[in-house]
Amino acid sequence: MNVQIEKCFKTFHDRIKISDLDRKEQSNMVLREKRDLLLEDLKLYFRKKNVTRKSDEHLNFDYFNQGSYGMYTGIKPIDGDFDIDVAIVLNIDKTDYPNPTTVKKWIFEALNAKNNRTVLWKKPCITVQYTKAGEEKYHVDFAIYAGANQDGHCYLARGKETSIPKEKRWEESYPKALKEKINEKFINDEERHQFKRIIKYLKRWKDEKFKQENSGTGKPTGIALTALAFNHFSPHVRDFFTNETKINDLTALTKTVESINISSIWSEINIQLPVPPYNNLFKDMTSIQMEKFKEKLSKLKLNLEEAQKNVDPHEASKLIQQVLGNDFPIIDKEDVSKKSPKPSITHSGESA
Amino acid sequence: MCKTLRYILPNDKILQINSNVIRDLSKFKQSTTTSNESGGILLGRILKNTNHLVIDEITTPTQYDIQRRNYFKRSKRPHQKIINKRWKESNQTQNYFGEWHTHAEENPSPSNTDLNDWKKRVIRDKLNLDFLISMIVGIKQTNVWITDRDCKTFKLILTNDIG
Repeated sequence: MNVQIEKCFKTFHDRIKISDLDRKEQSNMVLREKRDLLLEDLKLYFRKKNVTRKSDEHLNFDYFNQGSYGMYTGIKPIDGDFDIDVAIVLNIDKTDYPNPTTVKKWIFEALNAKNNRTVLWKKPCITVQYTKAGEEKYHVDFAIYAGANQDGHCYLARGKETSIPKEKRWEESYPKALKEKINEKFINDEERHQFKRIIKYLKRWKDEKFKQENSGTGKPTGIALTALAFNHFSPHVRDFFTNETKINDLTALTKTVESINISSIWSEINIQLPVPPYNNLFKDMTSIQMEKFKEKLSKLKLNLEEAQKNVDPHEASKLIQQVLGNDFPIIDKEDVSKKSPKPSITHSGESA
Repeated sequence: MCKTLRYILPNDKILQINSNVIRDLSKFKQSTTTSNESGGILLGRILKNTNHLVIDEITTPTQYDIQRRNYFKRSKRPHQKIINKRWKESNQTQNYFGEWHTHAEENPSPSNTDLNDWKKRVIRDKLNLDFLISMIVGIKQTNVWITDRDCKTFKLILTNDIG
């Protein structure tokens, strides 16, 4: 039973995962090319800007993939809108730019140079949206950081030009710290890989169960689920008695969800980003949205627990598909059942 | 949502009755003073590797059956037809496991008529299993028995904690 269900989890994972963006794989080509094109535009912009600046005041930047690409926890979107998060760390001191939107405007101007893309101001980033025939296809989020500060810290530029003054601020933030924290939580390869898979399963569950909602409202963010898994996941990769490798994603996922559930019976789910600024990742949810989220989480828990107890792999796979969506395969009834030589014969009967 | 029920069989295997069956059966409960006894047969599968049993289909009373307040007579033909059909459709995996009927009591137990019918059935029916499974659906509770080849009847014990 477990062997068959684990096979399903493997298929499911293969279907939903996004492989490393910078590995030369066809599926990521378009996204990687778009990102590199945009980075070229940024470089060109700063090269031009630097012509009028003294050489010790030249602006330049460092970049890396942040978010799920950096943590290898990315999943394919069910709505088809792929996104990628890029951190742009500028060699500037925030004290020279009290208004962070001044800096964000450079990035906006640099990227808003061609017709085939829409560049949008968002509070935490500048977004480049590529559209095809009116439909959203993919977008690249650029988070802009001041990385050469006297205090040695790193700050994210927040706010739009139209935001109220208190929303235009430099927020202490360590984009690499989160990535490292997630990637270094488990030293053992099997354990770390399972941890990443559980994050991806939870993210796909979220995409399936909050299809109609936008992030930041009733729909938890990917990072919020990542932080929940960070606190509540424990690995199930070895046989308890023999200590041999025995991957059990169903148990690992069930236990993670049970642990989240238990922690929030009497309270709202409250999870902090495990690195500065340690903000509560559920703070934007109203209490009604929180109740709905908890309800969906309970349903997930019930289905997983019943799938664990169910003796029929077919039924178990159906229960898991109900919560994780159609990319989770159903085990064929007939494949797991024995054949009988002929139909049994029954006679008429009486009962009273 | 109806719960899936699991019972321990004398050979330590598990008999699982799926929630859709429990839901279907609950429609026939003799909850009012005028409702008649209903019955039908149980269809299920033997699982590969583990040999656990799953009941996931039932038949329900037909126009050829007789339904009274405390009596039900199941005709042979229509139910046998379904067994044959489902066996064929399921690539020979779905088969006849036993029978069910309702009782107008909260926590049902078999009458002499029931016990005799089960014994007769073990001898006369051509079973795919080594025993016959019988379910009685009461008003509050549903109980399950098996009758073995020696015509001994055992009540099964519920378990819902098997991993």
